[in-house]
Amino acid sequence: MAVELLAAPAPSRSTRRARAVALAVAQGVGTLLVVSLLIFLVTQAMPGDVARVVLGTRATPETLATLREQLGLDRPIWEQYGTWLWGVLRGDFGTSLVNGMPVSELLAGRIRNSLTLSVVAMLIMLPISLLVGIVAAQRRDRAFDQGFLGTSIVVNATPEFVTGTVLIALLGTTVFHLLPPVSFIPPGDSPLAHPEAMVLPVLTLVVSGVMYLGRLVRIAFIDAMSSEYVQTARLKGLGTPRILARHALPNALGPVIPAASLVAAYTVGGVVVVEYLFAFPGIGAALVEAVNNRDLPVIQAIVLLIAATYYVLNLVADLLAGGEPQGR
Amino acid sequence: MSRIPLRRRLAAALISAGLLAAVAGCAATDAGASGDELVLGVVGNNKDEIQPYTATSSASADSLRQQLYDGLTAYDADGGVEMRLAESMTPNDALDVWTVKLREGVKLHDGSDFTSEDVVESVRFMLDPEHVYPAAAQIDFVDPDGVVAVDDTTVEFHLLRPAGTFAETWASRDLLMRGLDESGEVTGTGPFDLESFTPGQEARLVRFDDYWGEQPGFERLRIQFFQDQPAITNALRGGQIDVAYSVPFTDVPALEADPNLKTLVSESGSYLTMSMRVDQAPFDDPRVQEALKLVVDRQQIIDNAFGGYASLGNDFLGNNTDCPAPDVPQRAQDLERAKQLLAEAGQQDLQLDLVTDGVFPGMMETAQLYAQQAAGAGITVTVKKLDTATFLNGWGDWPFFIGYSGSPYVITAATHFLPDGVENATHFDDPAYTELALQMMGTVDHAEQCGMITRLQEIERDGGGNIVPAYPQSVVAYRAGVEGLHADLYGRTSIDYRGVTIEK
Repeated sequence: MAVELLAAPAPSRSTRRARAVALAVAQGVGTLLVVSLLIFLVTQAMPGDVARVVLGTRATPETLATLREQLGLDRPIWEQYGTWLWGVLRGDFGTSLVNGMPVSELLAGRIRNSLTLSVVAMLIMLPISLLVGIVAAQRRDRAFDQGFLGTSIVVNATPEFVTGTVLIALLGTTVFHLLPPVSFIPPGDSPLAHPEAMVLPVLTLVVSGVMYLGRLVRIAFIDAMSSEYVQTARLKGLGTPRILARHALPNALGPVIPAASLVAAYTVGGVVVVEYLFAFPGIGAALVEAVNNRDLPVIQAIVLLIAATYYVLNLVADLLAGGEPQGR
Repeated sequence: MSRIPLRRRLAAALISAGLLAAVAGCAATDAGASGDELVLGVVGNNKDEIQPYTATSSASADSLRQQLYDGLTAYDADGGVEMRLAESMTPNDALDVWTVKLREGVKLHDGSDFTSEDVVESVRFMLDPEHVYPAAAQIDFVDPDGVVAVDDTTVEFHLLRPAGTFAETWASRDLLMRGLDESGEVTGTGPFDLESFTPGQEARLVRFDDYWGEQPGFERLRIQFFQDQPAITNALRGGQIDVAYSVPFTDVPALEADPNLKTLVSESGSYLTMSMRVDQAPFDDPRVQEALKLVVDRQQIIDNAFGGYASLGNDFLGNNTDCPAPDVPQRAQDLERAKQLLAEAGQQDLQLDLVTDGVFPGMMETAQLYAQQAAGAGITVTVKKLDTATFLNGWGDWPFFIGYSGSPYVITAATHFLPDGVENATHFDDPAYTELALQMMGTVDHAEQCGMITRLQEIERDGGGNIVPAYPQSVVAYRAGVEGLHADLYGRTSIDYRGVTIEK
């Protein structure tokens, strides 16, 4: 059973595990370093720079030169990267090139907002997926199952942008005026203090997530229910609830838990789209804007954060699935 | 960080989590803002700052500055000039020394008097090249050392060259006056004082009760910054904002059908141009220029790109003065003549890329319609949509592009058409135009100026690099409880709150 592996008592084995985890962390840091270098080079390769964006159509060669000098953009790119990296190693993510605010200050509230959104979405998504998946598996090929499968195919084929837009029209603007279509969260407030602003973005993420994860749960359960040990349990005369809880569930969770970690990683990505759609003040919305502004320190900070989250979630998925992290 | 106890946070999480329907029920009541507060929605950006002399210019920064600061003069709703912080502006005979008398009793937000020293400090700050303030180009005739405070309410401007359009120049919304409080923080004289500002998210302002001019009829103003236009329309329809800075033409019918909303249509001095580099082949050939102007079906662009909210353009930058338009024939589509001109120029198989960043409403639509229309004369136009940074990176080099003009003509003449104009991306250089423009800028008499502006527009129409298919109107949408917004030629309909009241 996957969960037991974590608690395995043998010391030699736990040492090996610790070593493997340490290696994975080292690989993670290396990966992030490569990612940061790639972002840096890609941003350099994108046409236009922050001075152009800031000065707009009124730029002159003189003002462009002055601004680039003030922002340090006229220095050799390796020097720029070195300065940035040295800052990050000391915990300083630099200042935004467009408004001079420290990146940490600019992003602190937004990170909290995005994290809250993702976590709340996950907390709702997982139990619902489990429930829907189990029910569909139990009623395999009957109306509920058919309906769920059909819906999930449609929803999974629909980008979150469209799902969200439909939800806005349905609940916010056109059909019913039940929910605010745009998520205002005043700076400094926790999103949890504004539950009404969270509903539509969370719902959008949950709908997409459940339709994907619920199908995985369904398959895992169907597999588990047709296994020999469940057949044996059935022959021994155990009731369905007991079989589901004691025998099928733990075994079905084996493949589902790592999948859930992947869905978590995917949710972090989906947050970018959803935040943009609902004008939710999170890091996804900030990333879109930073790219448009060519605001490198902000782009770097957000992409590294998302990459680190992905890496950690993947690591957790590996640990839960196979017991030992695989190099990525 | 908020200090809500964990248990309450968990409870809140549960509410937002499980009880979607229950929350949905009570959420609608909380959708609007409280009592005496007006909420404006505008596309915003992290680039925005509160100090008035930033390199970047945007609708959101403008919305904020309009509340916090005043200019010496300002354009009125019809394009004329009115005195604001200045009470009078008097030139010497040579027009190179102007004496500005300031309004008495104007207060800054920190309670101190607004004086001539503040004017001197503001102007010198703008002109300092270290501050990279692009609008300083508009006052390049001002000698920073020649700005002298004579007494508390009198400032003398000694100019580097004579200027007739001195009062018009200071009416630019980029040339606002600021003050510095005791701690050196920027403060202003405007109708609202700043309470808090988070770039890209929101600004909260409170009415400044010692404001010298007409007061807004409500106490608090919140400016909510959005990343894109569709969310603004949604927020307005959902009752989350009271006024939308502007709305896309395509949304107007749906908004007008909503009984809780009203729309206000203004003539506008801001519009797109399709512009060509007239110093480069094939656009340096006047026959090619004319052919490209003759293929436009202007009415189709008005109907399809602007939903009918536009009037015919005639290929000059008009609609941006209170002077009469030139009495010249309206250019109409003539594909046969266009083909003939292209044949004479040896350009029967003309292939062009039309680049745009599509950031203003109607830009993409106009570009695509133009491409279809040009095909009728055998011209292949390929529309290329670029992101803004990429578009700006090639600014000044694009041979054929969608530009934007939003300034009064006295500014436009210098920035768009003089050979060294900062926004002269068509590389227009016509000695007759330049001579007349300089003469116009050296004239104080308004009627005389108007006569010259009209002649300048004629020159543009016949030999300039801009195709101006239409003058779109601007549409502001707002909640029915808002009263007193007024139509404005320069797009301040949604941000000028003098006499505006709100009832919720």
